[in-house]
Amino acid sequence: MNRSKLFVACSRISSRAVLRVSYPGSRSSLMPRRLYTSDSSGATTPKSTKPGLHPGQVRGALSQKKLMEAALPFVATHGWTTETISLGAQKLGYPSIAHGLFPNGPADLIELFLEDSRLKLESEMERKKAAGELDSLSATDIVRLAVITRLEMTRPYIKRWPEALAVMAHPTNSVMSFTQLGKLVDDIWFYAGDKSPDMNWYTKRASLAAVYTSTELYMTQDVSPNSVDTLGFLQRRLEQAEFVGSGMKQLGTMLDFGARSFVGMVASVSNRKRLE
Amino acid sequence: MSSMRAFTSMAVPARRALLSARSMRSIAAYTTHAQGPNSTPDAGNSTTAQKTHFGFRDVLESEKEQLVGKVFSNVAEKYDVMNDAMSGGVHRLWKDHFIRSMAPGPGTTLLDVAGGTGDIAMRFLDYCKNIHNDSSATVKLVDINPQMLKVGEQRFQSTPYANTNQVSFLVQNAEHLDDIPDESVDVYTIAFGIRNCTHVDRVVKEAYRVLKPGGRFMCLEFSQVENPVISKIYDFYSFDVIPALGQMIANDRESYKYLVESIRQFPPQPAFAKIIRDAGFSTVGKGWEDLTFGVAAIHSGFKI
Repeated sequence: MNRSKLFVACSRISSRAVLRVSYPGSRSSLMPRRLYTSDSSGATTPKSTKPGLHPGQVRGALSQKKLMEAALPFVATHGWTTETISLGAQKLGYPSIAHGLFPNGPADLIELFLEDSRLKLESEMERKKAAGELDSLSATDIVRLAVITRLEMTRPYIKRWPEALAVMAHPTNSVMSFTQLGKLVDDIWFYAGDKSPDMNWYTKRASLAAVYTSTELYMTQDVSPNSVDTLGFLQRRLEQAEFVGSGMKQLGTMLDFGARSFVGMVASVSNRKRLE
Repeated sequence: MSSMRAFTSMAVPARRALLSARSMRSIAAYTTHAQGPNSTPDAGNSTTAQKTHFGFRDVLESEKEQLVGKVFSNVAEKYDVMNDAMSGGVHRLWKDHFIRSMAPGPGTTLLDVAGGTGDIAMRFLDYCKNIHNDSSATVKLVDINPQMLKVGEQRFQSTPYANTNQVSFLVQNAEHLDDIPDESVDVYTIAFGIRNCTHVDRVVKEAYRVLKPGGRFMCLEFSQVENPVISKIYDFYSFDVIPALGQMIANDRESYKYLVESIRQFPPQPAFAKIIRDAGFSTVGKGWEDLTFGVAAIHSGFKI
């Protein structure tokens, strides 16, 4: 809990301080919290992912990321569970016990998945930007494009996603969930060209977070072909949110969204019985 | 022993100073190359007369194994009762948590070193049975002390695992597990045992040898309490209460005095985590989990 407060405080202070000093938004100064270490190549890969693996003398073949990638195909059948991680380890030819590489079990698997997806989104948006695909789009269009791109990555696991949401909603994991969500919306606003130096900085991120979580939640229950209903839902939410309006109005919208999506999430999660 | 009596009657600050001075030294004393990189000591060969510690006493390296052996032969019969009495039953919670965080899947093979009376082995098999309804998981229970192993064997006689191939017993020295082949087990556990070994680093290296790739080294051991308030209470309890309990229940004050002294001599968490990494293991995060303010800790390493 301390960490979350610290994180929020740090990110606010640092972004605002830096914004005042060097406004003309070179990406590194605009977003000092994030490290764009390999942005020139565009192909960002996570160098090390939390919770970090401390390598011993021998550098082996198995990393947390590899284990995650091997485990994900089992999510559809076994959910976000320790068993899934074990099956992933066995598929790689290691004993099931190697699931201990994720000391927090499913929460670590989910965190790695979120982090990995976010980095994938980043490189995808970077690629689109370099190809000039974003030039003719408005900020809202870019936001929509990014949200759709990101949701596509959750789609293979969408039927099991409420379980992940339940794990993320657990108090011990709330820091992780909010951090990941915060980073995601921050990334999306970066590609949408947001440079707001005022209250809008917060309201934009908060309302996009609400739009994203509610759309994701809608998607878990969406049975339409190719999730067309979800796209419609997203479109309506974006129109409602009107990101370029005044700050106070958005604050109201954000609170409304926040309350609604929270109620929706609780209702959805309590309907699921297979969870621990 | 008079030196110990003098120690317990010392003023608390003096005692703490002595404790910290000893723990500074103890890391070197526990590892093989304490005397410099050129010495290649062989266990049992003390031509260089290397010293190690036995509780707060300095003894020859060659003597320690025997002295520890004597302690455990003395306490074997009362070992489980004493554990409950000393920890108020908390050692059971630690061991349960230990197995839960291991969370073995079906068919896992465990090597339980210093397995003694079989607490870990029993919990492991119970976990596999209750969670996975699995009877293919196996344990090799290894201990250097035949008396302790005998208590464990007797205990298993009254369980469903008796006369199955799920559990086997072997007398082995943790520093050279001669009868355990390379890369043959999934998990290696050592619970409250590594403290009593002469060369901790050799034990961990041996664990690395016998584990399969992807296997996990897990060690449950008494550790250092960082919180100053708790640590004061803990010191009082260790040095004044536990030996008295040992006297009352097991009629053996000296053995339990050794026990609490050896806890203070064991390397603190970061130093032990380093020994584990130096043996070739990878650790996740800081590499250990404190239990009950650090009275005990679970150290983990992965052979990957």
